[in-house]
Amino acid sequence: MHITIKNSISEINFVHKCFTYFAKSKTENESAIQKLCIVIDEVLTNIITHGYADQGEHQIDITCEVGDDSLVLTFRDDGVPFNPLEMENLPPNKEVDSAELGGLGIHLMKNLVDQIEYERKNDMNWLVIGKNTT
Amino acid sequence: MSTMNMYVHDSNAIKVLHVQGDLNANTAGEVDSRLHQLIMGGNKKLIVNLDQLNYISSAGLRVFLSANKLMKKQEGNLRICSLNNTVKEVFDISGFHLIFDIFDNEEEALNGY
Repeated sequence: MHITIKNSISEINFVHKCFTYFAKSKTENESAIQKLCIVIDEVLTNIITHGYADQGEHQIDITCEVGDDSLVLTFRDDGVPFNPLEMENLPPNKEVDSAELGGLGIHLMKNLVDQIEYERKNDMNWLVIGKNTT
Repeated sequence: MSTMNMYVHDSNAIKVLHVQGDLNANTAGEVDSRLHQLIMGGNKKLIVNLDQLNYISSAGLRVFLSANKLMKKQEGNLRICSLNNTVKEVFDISGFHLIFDIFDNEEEALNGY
């Protein structure tokens, strides 16, 4: 699966539909699909909301491939450099307040998947996320 | 087309909001408006039933956090029930299981409310 979207929140729905259709043809693991849907929401919302210094139109590439008993999503965007792996996890078992909610999406993402890799190359963010389906 | 549906039903004079489908950045605004409307409409007891919810992202969690705060200001109480395994895991990972009254099903949520 390879799709390209514009940097608009309304495009996320299209990505979910394409991903779900693709993923259901590759695995029966509903839980893994649901978790990757959450990841898609978090990553794209983050890029679209915080990723650009200008108000212009940008493109975001999303691919999904089947790995060894896994699904692997790759996000590529030309936004400002942002490595989610450098964000600290929210403290465990602590009551969440609105002041701490800034990192909630990334915290969720890190805890729902099995593999995250980040690279900045050719002035673009490359984020690779894998989820086991066994 | 939205991937989320909502409806409200009365159970023992308590409003129960059912949220179905995907609760994400696209759909969170609608749920936020509906909850705000129900709370400001004077419902001091409210149950949110998630038995048909597919998944929830942080945008959806923020909606429940905001509703919970508003409800407390109105001196009311919000209960959430019927989370599937993925939604429950998201609540646990984010620490939301510590701030919400969560029940296995609607019957338990209504019990003693």
